[in-house]
Amino acid sequence: MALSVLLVILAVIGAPLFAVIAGSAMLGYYREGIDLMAIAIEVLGIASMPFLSAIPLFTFAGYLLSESNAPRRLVRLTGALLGWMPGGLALVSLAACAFFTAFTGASGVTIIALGAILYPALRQDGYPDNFNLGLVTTSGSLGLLFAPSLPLILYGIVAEVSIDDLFRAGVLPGLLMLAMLSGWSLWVNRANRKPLASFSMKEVGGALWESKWELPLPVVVLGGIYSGYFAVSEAAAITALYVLIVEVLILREISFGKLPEVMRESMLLVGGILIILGVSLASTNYMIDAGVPQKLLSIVTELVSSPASFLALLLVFLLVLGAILDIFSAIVLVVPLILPIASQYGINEVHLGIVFLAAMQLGYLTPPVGLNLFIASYRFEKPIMTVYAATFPFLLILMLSVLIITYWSDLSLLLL
Amino acid sequence: MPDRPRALLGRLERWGTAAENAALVLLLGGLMLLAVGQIIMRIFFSAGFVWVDELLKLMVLWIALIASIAASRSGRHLRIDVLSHFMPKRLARLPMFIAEGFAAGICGLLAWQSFRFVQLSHEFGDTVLVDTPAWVAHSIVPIAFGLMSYRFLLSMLHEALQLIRAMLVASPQQ
Amino acid sequence: QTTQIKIATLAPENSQWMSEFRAGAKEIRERTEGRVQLKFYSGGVQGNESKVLRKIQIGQLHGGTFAPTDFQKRFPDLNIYGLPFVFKTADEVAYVRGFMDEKLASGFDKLGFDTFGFASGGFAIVMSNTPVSSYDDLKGKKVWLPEGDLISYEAMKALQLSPVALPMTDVLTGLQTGLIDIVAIPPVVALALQWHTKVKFVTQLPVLYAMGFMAISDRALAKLSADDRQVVDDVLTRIYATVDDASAADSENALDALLNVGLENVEPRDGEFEKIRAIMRENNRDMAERGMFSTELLDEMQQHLRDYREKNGEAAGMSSDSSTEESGTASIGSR
Ligand code: NA
Ligand code: NA
Repeated sequence: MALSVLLVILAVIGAPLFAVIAGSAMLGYYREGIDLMAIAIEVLGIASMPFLSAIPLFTFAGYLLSESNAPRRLVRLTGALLGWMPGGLALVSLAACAFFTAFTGASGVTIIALGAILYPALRQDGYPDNFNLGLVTTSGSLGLLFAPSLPLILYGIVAEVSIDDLFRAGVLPGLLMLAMLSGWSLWVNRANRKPLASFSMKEVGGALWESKWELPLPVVVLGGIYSGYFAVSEAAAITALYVLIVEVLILREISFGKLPEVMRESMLLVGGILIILGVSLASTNYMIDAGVPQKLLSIVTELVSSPASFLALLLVFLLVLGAILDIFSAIVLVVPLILPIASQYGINEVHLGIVFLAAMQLGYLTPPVGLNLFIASYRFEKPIMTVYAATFPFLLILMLSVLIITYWSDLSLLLL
Repeated sequence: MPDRPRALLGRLERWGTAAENAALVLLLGGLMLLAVGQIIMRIFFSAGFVWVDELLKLMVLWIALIASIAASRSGRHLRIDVLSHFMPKRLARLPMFIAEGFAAGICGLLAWQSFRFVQLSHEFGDTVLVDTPAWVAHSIVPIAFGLMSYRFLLSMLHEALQLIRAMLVASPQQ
Repeated sequence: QTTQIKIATLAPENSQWMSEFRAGAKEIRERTEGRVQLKFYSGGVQGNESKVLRKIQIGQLHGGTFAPTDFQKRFPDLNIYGLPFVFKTADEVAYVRGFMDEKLASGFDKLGFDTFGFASGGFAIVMSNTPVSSYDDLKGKKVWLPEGDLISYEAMKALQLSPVALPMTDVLTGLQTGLIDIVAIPPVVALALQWHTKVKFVTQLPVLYAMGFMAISDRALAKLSADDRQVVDDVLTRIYATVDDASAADSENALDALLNVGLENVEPRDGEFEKIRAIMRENNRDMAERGMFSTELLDEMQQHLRDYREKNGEAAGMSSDSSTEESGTASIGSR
């Protein structure tokens, strides 16, 4: 017990999470009298997980896109398509960020790549500064529920749920979040309802033509997977190779010399996620050996009896979890434990995944640890407290949407 | 600090980064080409190799571990990162020193345990990819954790030096 | 003093297998007065078979349930009954196994494992999303290859089929998305894993004979007293024998269930699959000669099979495996 508390303290003072998890797994093995070599077997288990290659490949593709001029083209295109509406630029920001985040895996890249373009543009268009900061910060993780986002894939791998089902299930809940935030943005700026520009077929055509190389991407990814031509991991390989050829060879926006740096940068994130996945396989394995899921289940069944109250308990738990843990660590650590419990309450595992990710998306915006808050504070040179305050109304809207997503399971399951 | 060891460390650092980058470029590029090649073979030639999937998975393992070494060099491992955002840098030194030391110790233990396992699988003659000895493919695990332990040790020493320096600077003022 | 024996299995928690195992564990605990406790990990929570074998190596687990392909690298001869298109009926296998089971089981001694008999899983038959009644119906379709199954891979190569290697866990998704069109699997397994919900057609073609077994490491069993070890052996052997005896009926029931839920039965076209059989005979021989498994064992199995078929009045030519004339002329390439 004392040692477990020590591990928690080590985590809080900033020890790398993978080391803390590995430490707790080895402690568990030691107590059970299992040879510590067992942890090597679990880490090697990374090499027996299906579809895992999708993670490095999609991440690399996303980083390539964000290093190129694709973000600028995306903003121009969404501007041409949506800018004529009142409050146009806010809607453009939300849509462009959601689309971009789906491809870049909600790693904070969106704020850096798109925020830099949108934040000054919003200010210039007369939107209040606090609103702009909140909008851009929130948008950094919007689109998490849209294919092929990294958290969706990771949940599918860890929970052994069909990734295409998750891709389908995320569509409506993701759109709901987008719609609610759009509605809020329009309401806040009801005084400033001037459109960005009037609709112009010529501008749409120009923007489309400029984005002609990136436009096939969604078709390749989604079409390939749904038509059964490729598995998710294969779609990832094709996407990565395609983006590489387009941005480096055809558009030449990224030089050969810069390529190793982009690869390294993207793999830093991947290494961080996969090493946690590896050691979490060990800690999960120990917990199964020690019967932790059963004990957890008996505690939970004592607390709540109906699926609805279980979901409420789950949401509270995920909010607390999201306040301190990043989404990737949360998925690999917690999903194996709550999955059997949720199935006891008859919760569909695809719906569970959407609820889990939607709730963890709030974690990007909740103190003390919120990736988007930190990145926005750093990128726009604002005190962290200012960012918290600016983001708070958006956080409330998102919470409301998470409640709806949680209790209206058809929203997730309708498209399956 | 004398110049020679510092220069040597600096050179090691540059070589290490270059080696990591080269490995990541080769592995990621290989992963892409091999996976796409397999799709082309299947769709256009109705053929495939039985070992490709296993090789792809082993490459992901290598990417994960080499990228982890890189992440430990660049201080990019995921952490519950409260301190650095809320504490003055100077006050955060001691906890950081402890955290890095702990990570170095755990990685050392992981390196040792995975070395024992690789040795055992060498004795058993385990194979991967039809008939390649498994220890060849799996040796990356002890190597990676060993290097990560070294990285965390260095950054622990760095924190210690900074801590001592901060104390030396602070004390005469009192 | 309690000795715990930890055994991992892919069998789902609420399966027939698990209830047999639990009853067996209870009986063993009672008969050894609590000295021996079998602890089962169901549903694959300890990972796939190669992971389980590694965990047995380091003593984290003590045993597991396996299929012959899991031992492909250490004990290739174990796959001998599972060679594709060798047997046609359950009776044929039963006859041959009567002679050869013991020899196969003894092969585990030098691997440091104890086994308790083999349980038949029935024949893997063809299930598909396009009707398969002839060899041409297989060509150009994406056929599932169990990941790491070298023998099936060689077989598909010889037949010029397009294998798609996937682990068991991904087959359901593969069928749903059209990543694979055709699988060969025993009806019992298809039902247990719900694969029947993603296919439309079933062709009752005995592709290969499937079986499973439990292996427990000698090191773990050596800790028990001779009497206790006997109890473990008796109970587990009885369980496997019971399941093996019931397997023919189980397969029949599972097949009925598949047809009852609306899978369409496709009749294999006359003689069509004899060509495949001939190519497979040649290929099986070829694999043995390349050292993938023992030639003597293959000869012995085929001798028993010939004996059985002669006794039961089948035309000798049909079953003759040494008939080079027949196998020599059959080549897919020349079609
Ligand atoms: Na798995
Ligand atoms: Na948070």
